[in-house]
Amino acid sequence: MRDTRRTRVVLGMLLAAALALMAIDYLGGSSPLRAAGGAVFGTAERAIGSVAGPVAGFFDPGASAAGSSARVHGLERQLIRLRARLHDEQLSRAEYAQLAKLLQTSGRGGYRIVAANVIAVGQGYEQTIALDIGSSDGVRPAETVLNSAGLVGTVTGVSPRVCTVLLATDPTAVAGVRLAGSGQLGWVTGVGKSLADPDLLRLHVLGASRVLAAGQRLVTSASVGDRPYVPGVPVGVVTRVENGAGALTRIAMVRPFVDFTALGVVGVVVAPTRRDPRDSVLPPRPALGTPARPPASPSNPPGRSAGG
Amino acid sequence: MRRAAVNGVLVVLAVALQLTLVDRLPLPGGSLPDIALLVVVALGLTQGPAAGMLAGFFAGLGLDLTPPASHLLGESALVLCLAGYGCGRLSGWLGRSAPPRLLAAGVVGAVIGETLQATIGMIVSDPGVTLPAVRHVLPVAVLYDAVLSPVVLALVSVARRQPGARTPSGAGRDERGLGPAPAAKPARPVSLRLGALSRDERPASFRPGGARGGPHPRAFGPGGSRNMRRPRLRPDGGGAVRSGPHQGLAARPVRLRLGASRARGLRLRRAHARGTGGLR
Repeated sequence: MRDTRRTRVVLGMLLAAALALMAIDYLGGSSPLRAAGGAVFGTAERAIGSVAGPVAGFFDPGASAAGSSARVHGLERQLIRLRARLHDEQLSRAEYAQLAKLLQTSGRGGYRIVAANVIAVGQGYEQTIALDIGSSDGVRPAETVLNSAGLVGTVTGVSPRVCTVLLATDPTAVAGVRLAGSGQLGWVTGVGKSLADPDLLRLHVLGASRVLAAGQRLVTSASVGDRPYVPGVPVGVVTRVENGAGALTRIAMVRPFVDFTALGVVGVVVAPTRRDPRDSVLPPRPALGTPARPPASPSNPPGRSAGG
Repeated sequence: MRRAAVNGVLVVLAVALQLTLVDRLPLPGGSLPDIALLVVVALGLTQGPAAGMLAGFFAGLGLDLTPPASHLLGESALVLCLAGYGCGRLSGWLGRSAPPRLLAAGVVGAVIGETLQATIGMIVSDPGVTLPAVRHVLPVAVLYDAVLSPVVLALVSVARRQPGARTPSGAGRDERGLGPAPAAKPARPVSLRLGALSRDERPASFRPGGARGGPHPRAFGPGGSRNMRRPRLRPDGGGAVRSGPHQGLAARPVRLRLGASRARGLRLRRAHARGTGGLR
């Protein structure tokens, strides 16, 4: 297959097709294509992901096959099989524990959830995940996703068996928050991969004269119609207050409660709570301020920098 | 057809592996290898531009359409299509010769593919692809790709060596436009060595005559004529090798003679039987 004229014609057609797809998507006309792709590829991915998920955690170097006799070989195979089964058992127990905690959390907040497993993670610069539930399970776009620790993200795309979740760490995700206790309002956005530590959120608090301190905790505040975020979901802890002189908002970095690198069982809130749970879903506060006071805070005293 | 099927399976496997397994691995550095890109690069390098660009386009389309994707539809298709085509061209230019150079080309292809991805993301102003993000992600991703590239290349070559999967380089090589090569030809080893032997003659000699209107421009001049090239095939090589304009090739005559002596003898005999001149 050399580089002939035909090859170049085909190349030109493929590039034109790709550019056309990008243009169509940019103008927002690609939803049927995406729906079809989600239905076909998503279902296949769901099948593969349910197998590959356990494999991702199964990196055991002890399973080499260097046997000389058939018996050693057979025993080794049996060992590997038993080890895999043991691992499955442990995995399902871990999932069970996650699910139990998730149900406790959602019970405290009064959210009605559908539990789901993460089956795929977005590639490259994306901060998205795919879950193994879809519109056939009652999931609709712009519903809140949480796990036992707190806010995970919001549903952006739904196909029959799979849905896409935009993580709270994505730079396009904006969640309205309320500082626990003081009730100040603000919003958090993700920083994407632009920081060395991508799992941080950036908090903006309305009102430049507000006092922010490391260790303050955040919950989501109510959205219109409880979409895309239901109120009261724990978000994170303020770790560092940035010196935003002259800005209209106070800015701080927030360490989320959720470990975004190890998402397993999550829940999609399909029916919001009838009353705002306020701060009741937050986990009990640990021994005062020990984990949430980085060494950076003394050099950057909270609330003392010149604002507005 | 069979090769296309093998390529299709490889592409599907790569996309599935990428999204369901590789992207979930807790690797250090905040970035991950791009298996789909590596497979496309390897296909382009081993099978030429057409296979590379087709594999790239469809792998990219798969990545664009499979659910967690949030970038513009067609972005990955564009990037991977270009990467596959570019690697195919690169392999033609390298002549599919020595494994070290192939490996280096694989790394180069991965680097270019990752950079292209970041560039296109910035051009379409994807909010996740900013300059600081690229600065954090790109070096680590390139590092992982460089480490994994030889493995993927080896796997793709193994998949290609399946019975029935004919090499593209073996097809119609020494025929001088007299029709396609016989299918029973011992394709792989011969073509590999021939690639090393006559890489800059190939554009002239391997294109079916008249299909693109005459020989490649590089074949013009004194070195391109048949009279001048025949002495090169003498067993002792000597000074005749340097007669052409291709000095880079003349720099390693010993290796070439050792590597391809049998194949060349076979070719010479066949060529004489047909009355055509030598390798051409």
